[in-house]
Amino acid sequence: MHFFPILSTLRRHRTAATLIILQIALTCAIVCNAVFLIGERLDRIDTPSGIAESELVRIQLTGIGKSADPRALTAEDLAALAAIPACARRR
Amino acid sequence: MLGYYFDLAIRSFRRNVAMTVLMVLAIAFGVGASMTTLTVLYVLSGDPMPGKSQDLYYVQLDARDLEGFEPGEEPQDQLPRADAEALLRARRADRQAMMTGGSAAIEPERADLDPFFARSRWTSADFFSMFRVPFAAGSAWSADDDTTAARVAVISRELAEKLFGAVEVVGKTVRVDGNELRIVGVIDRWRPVSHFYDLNTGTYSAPEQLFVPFSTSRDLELEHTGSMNCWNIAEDPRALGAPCEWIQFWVELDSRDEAAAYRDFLVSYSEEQRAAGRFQREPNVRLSSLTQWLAHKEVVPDDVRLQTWLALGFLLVCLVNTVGLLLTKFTRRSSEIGVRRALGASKRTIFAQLLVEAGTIGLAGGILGLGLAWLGLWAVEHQPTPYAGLAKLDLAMLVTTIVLAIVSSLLAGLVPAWRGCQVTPAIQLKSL
Repeated sequence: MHFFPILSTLRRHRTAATLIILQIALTCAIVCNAVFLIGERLDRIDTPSGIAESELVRIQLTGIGKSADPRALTAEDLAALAAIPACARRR
Repeated sequence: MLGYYFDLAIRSFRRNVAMTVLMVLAIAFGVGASMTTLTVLYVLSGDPMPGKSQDLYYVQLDARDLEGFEPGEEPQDQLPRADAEALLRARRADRQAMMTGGSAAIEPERADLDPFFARSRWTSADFFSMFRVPFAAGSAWSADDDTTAARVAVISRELAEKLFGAVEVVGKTVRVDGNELRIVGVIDRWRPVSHFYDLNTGTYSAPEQLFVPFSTSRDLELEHTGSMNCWNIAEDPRALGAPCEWIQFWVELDSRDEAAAYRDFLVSYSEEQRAAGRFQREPNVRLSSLTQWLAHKEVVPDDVRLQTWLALGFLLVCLVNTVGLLLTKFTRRSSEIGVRRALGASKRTIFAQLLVEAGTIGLAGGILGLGLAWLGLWAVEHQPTPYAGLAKLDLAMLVTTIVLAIVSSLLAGLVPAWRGCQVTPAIQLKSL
C-alpha cells in the first residue's frame, strides 16, 4: 500500500477532505450515541426478574357494588381456577 | 433579477439531474426527520389552556409532621382532603376546584352492553368553567350540588353515545357502582394537550368519561385512582382527617395582585392550622402557575427531547453532505462563471446567483421534506405512546419546515458560493 500518494491528494483537496472527515465524524457521533442509548434500554428490558414470567397470568375480578361474602366468593373462584389441569396451585 | 437567477438555477439542475436529486434528497431527509421530532416536541410542550394558562394556579401546602423534615423542602404535590375542602369552602379565589382521579363500574340500561369501568374524576363545580370545558348538552352542576352531595354526573360525549346512542341525555340516569346518578351535562369533544390538572393519572391521557361531585363520591365510597401519600398510619386514608395527600387543588386568579393575596392567604391558613395543632411545620406553600407547574413536573418526555437532538444532528450531516455536493457543482461550472465575470458580472452578483441556486434546492427539499415529515408523524401516530394521537402538522410547523429547508440550504451554499465566485476570469477564458 502506498499511503503517500493518498495523503498528498487529500492535502491538495483540503476542503473536500475536511468535509468528508466532518461528515464521517458527525455520523459516527450520532450513530454511536443512538446505539449506546438503545443498548442501555435493551439492558433494562432484559433485566432478569427472577420470576417465571412465561408461566404466570394475573387475573383480576371486580364485582359491581358490595358483595355479601367476598371471602367465600374468592375461595370459590380459586377452587375453580385450581380445577384447571394445567394450573399449578401455589400459596 | 431574482427571476432570472431562478431560471438559471433550473437550467443548471437539468444539466446534472442525478446530483440535483441527491442534494434535494439529502435536504429532504434531514428536514423531514427534524420536523417530525420538532412537531412532536412542539405539540407536547404546547399550552394546554391557551389564553388562560396565566390565570390558573396549582396549590401546594405542607401538612406533614416533623418526621424527616428538611429545611427548604418542597411541599408535597397534593393536598390532604381536609385542607382541600377547607380551601374550597373559603372561596378566596375567583374560581377553585378540588379533584382526584377515580374509577367506577357503569351498568348500561341497554341489554346488549356489558358493564364496564369508566375513567372518572371526582371534582367540584368550578372545574368546568375554570378549564373552559365545552358542553354539548346541559351544563356543570352547581356549588350547591357540591355541598349537598347531590346524586348528579357530567359525562363525556363518548360515554353518552355509548350508553344511549345520543348526546341529548340530560335528565337521564346512569348507574355508577350500583347508584343512580342524574346526568346534568354532556361534555363535547375536549382534549387538552396534557392531562395537566392531574399528572398522576397519565401525563398525556385524554380527559375522563365520568365526572361526579367529590362530596358525592365520598358519600358513595367510589374508588379513587392516582397517587396517594400518607405520612402516618391511617385507618381510612380517604377519611376527612386522614394524614394523607391525594387531592389536586386549582385556583383561578385574574391578576398578579390576586395571586400574591392568595399566597398570603395560604400562609395565614397554614399558620392557623399550625396554631390549631394540625400542621407541625413552618408554613411552606407554593402557588405555581400552570406553565410553571408543567415545567416543574417536567412533563415533556426526555425521549422526545433526545430524538429532536438526534434528528437535528442528522440534519447537520445532511447539510455537510450538501455542502460537498454544491462545492463540486460550483467548481465544475468555473468556465461558465468565468464568462459571466468577463461580461461584467461582479463577484457579488455571482455570489447571489449561486445562493439562489442553493435556495432553490432547499425549497424543493423542503417540499419533499414536508411529505416525509407527514409520513414520520403518521408513524408516530401508530406507535403505542400515550401522545400518539396528538402530534399533527399545523400551519406554523408547515411554514417552519419550508423556512428550515431554505435557511439550511442557504447556509450550506455559503462556502461553495464564496469559493465559486473566486474564479479568475482570464484563466478560465484561456482554457475555453
